[in-house]
Amino acid sequence: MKRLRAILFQQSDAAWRAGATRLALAGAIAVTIAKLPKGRFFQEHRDTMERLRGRPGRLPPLSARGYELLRAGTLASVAVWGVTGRRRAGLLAAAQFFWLNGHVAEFFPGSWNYNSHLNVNLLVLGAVDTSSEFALKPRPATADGVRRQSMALAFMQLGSGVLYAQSALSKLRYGGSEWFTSGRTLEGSIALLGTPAGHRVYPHKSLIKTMSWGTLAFELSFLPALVLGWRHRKALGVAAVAFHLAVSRFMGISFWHLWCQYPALFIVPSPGERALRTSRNADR
Amino acid sequence: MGMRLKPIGGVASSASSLWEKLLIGAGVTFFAVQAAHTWTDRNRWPLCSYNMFNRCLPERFAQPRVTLYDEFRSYPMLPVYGLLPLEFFRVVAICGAVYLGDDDDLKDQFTASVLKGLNDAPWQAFDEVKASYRAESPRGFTGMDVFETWIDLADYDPRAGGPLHDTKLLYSCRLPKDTA
Repeated sequence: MKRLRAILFQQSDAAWRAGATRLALAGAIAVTIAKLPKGRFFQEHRDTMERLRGRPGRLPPLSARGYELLRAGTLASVAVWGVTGRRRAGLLAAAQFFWLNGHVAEFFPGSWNYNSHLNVNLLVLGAVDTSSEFALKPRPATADGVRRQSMALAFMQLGSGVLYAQSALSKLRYGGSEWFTSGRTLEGSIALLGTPAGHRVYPHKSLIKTMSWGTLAFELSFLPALVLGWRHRKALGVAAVAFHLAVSRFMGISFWHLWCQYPALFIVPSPGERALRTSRNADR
Repeated sequence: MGMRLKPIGGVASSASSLWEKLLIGAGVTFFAVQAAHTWTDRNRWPLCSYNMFNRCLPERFAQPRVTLYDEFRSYPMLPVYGLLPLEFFRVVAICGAVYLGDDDDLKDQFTASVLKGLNDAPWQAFDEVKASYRAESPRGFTGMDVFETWIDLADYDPRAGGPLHDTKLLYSCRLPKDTA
């Protein structure tokens, strides 16, 4: 309980870390928005998709022009939030990005959502003033503000762990032990999506089985290791980035929009932590 | 008379206010609802089950393939990924829903939109979105065949993209000359 309380409310240099995370998150969302399909694509396929879904969309329909305006407006709001860290800009960006990404997801709902963690993290961090660090016009953070920043960081950090735990649970429940013992899902995925490096691994079935077990081990252990070994969160963040880079190397699936936040959330030491380390070294 | 100073960046009170307890409750509820979606294998945006790659693939499994045509040549047995500017797994799911269904009008309409998109608004690859297929002919693609094929992991060579087994034509379309 004491450990959880420290993670939730008393993260060291929460203001610095929240500011850095804001920059990483705003950058990831901006790239995501810039790379979305064009408005006329959605308009062209709207009728067919509606027939396929058997119902109209849950969100108000957007014309191609309306979609492009929303896209540009969301990009502008996210940029303003990124450089100011103001709460009002964050909440506006969160509302706009919710509508925009919801419109994209609604095109063909049902397949997994891919990047809705960006929406959730933007809502959580955007609702907190992070303007004391990495902002154009910095405002000093209050003690209560720092406490809220710590809570937002904890949500995003633990949320990453929950995400991996969900992924492991899903494999265990719907793939069963055969998922890991046979290695066939990874084998088939490398067959279809594999990079040249993946193709080199493809003939080595035992290596692919080992990779399957490694996936389970990583996904299952990340959340408990983060909570129980909070002091080692930097190493866990590095391990998570390495996991995604390995998947990207062999299967071409990067999940970049998740792990690009890890340096700020877990890995890069804050100025306060660096100073503490320097003073400890000096004392030795 | 002492001035009341607003604390800056210091350690705040360790007691949680009601507001904080509500926020923590909301966070825990969100995680629990997400986990329930995982348990039921259901995605309902923005709630996500993270069920990617969760099935154990059999040794033999079906895959859609397309052959595209322009006025010069055919482009045989391509994965469907490059037909739409969406993540590859969404393209596979959409193509399956369209071409394995019974609605022939829908197939015609969807295919015409796909070919129009390929010819008029090609796109670059980015992350899980694969690049659009490009026709050699300046008039663009003029037709498409959609196949169900089977991949057997025992003999599949990913570098060669084959062999493909039990290939079955699901749908065929040639655009009228004046629309291509």
